[in-house]
Amino acid sequence: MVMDEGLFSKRAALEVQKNIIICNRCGQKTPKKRAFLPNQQYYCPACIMLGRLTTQHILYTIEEPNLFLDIPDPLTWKGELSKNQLRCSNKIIQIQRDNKNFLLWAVTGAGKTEILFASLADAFKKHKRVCIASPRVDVCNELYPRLKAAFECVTMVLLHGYQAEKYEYTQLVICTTHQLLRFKGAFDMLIIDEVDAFPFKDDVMLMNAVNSARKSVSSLIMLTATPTHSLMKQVRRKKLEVGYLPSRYHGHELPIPKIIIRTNWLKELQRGKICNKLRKIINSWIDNKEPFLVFVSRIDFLRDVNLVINKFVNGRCEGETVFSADKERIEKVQKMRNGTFQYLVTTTILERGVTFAGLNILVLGADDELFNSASLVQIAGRVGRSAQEPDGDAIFLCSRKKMTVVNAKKQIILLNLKGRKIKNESLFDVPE
Amino acid sequence: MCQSRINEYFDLEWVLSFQRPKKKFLCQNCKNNFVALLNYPRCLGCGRKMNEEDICVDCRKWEREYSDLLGNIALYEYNELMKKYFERFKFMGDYYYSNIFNEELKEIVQKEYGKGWLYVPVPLSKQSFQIRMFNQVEALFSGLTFTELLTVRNDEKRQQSKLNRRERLRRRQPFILNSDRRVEVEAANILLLDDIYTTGGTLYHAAKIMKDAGAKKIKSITLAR
Repeated sequence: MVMDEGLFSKRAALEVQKNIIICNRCGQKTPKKRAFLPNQQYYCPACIMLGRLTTQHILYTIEEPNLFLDIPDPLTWKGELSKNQLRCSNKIIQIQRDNKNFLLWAVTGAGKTEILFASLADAFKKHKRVCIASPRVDVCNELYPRLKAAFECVTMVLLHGYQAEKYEYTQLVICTTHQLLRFKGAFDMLIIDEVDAFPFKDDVMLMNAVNSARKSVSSLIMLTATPTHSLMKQVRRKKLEVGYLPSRYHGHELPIPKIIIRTNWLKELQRGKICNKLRKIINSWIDNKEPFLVFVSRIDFLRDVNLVINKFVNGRCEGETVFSADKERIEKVQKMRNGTFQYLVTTTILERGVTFAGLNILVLGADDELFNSASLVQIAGRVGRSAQEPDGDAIFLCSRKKMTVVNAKKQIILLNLKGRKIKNESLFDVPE
Repeated sequence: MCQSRINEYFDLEWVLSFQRPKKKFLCQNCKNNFVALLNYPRCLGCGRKMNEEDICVDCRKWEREYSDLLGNIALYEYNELMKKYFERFKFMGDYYYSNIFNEELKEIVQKEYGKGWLYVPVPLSKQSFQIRMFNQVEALFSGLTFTELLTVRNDEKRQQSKLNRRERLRRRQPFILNSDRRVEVEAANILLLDDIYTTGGTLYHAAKIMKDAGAKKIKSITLAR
């Protein structure tokens, strides 16, 4: 490769100060004691998973040239948007042209990806470079084929830590938020899906990554179904514009979760018992051949819960347990999709980004600290996502009434209310 | 290891002992997932877990070839978590991770082979050292005084960890004895230090050199087996 000195800007990988070192890739500060190497050098432990940077390294950056082909009509998707979707879509085009920041608060199953298409097409036409990032690998993996199908002529690459595909210079980059650390001043439009998901939430390093990966004049669009407090604060202070899509693409309302309080459910379960209310519900699911997910808070519970349910089901249908480190995770979810399994017992890994038609859900111990309101809303949002079967049950079983559970239910009711009301109102007000 | 916060708990015994708390690097959960081999019956040759104390099949082969066994002491079993540990420490190069086992390793070395032993760490090739910028064995056992008797031959191209078992066993002598230190080996007690005992190939190669140079006793300690 020919290297022209003028094209590159050069800087040391690490800045060494009196007691700390600062990494120029991830922006993290580390005490010298933690970053010490025995040959009197230092390294950055915060972004070591992208390859270790030491004081001997130099970072090179090339200014983004935006060298892309003219594509007169990049969007090859031929779907139609609902009225509300269209309004959001137009708003995002405007944001993208004005290079502003925007938060799209759309309920689970509102069709967020499709809303983006028009603005993406507009950006591609203007030779803009675009990145869609998400904290979750599963979300990236799901987005890539959909975008590939929607923009057949646009060059795109999928980047995440588990894949071996080589980096290529493309107009669209789909990646996990960690991969953003590899870019500097590269994108004219940056979209972050599921901004509130772990590990992005409350992570300073990843927030830095977002800011340094986009150009100084660029647009940032954040998508979520459950915005965090800090995001809403920015909205209320008018630092961030918000768009608001409280109804699903098929126009049906979100199913409202039922809260069942059973003080001793955990003890009962450990003795192999299930209370009568739950028996009735699970029986009706099995009789109607409806699939269901059982969420538990900890991996340790999976086996016990599965044993109890297995016994109760007594061969009437099949199911398994799934957790994040499960080697057969993808196969099991696939079996659930094609109907071999009627139920799965799972942890919060299936909380976002998965769609099963006609699903019911049951959360055991919804009052556990591991479930916050956001994740409960997400879990409830798995229900009724297809237009054919917009109804389903969402059951939260808890041992006591807790704010997170009540708030989650309230939020869903509020969203439904809004959805009914805003048919004709403005979508871009600050919500209460 | 798992990045979760460590609960420091204060018990009565500690309060009465007026000692500063020992710095903890592992949470209880991770600690439980490392299998401490010293609590189990082990092979007398390599230190692996056995049903009863005996010499395992692999070590019998070494016995035939070299007549003396190393009587290796390994602290932990090489399991999934240990693999992750080495991934981070050795291959990503997170030097700080050497602290996790440093205390324990130093303790066992001083307890089992206190005085009259020369501590010889297994060396690293120049290329690996240039990339990693530290010798992982010296890092793990840091705090002890080493006697660096061995170097890796210059023409040694491939890393041990990139070879499979058969290739490893067939490998020829990868080390040479530093010629200026030949005198120190004679009639000395040598304790070889390494990070992982896999086939035993590395350590027996090193042991052979020591023996040829006239060492009296040769033993070994590793972190994992």
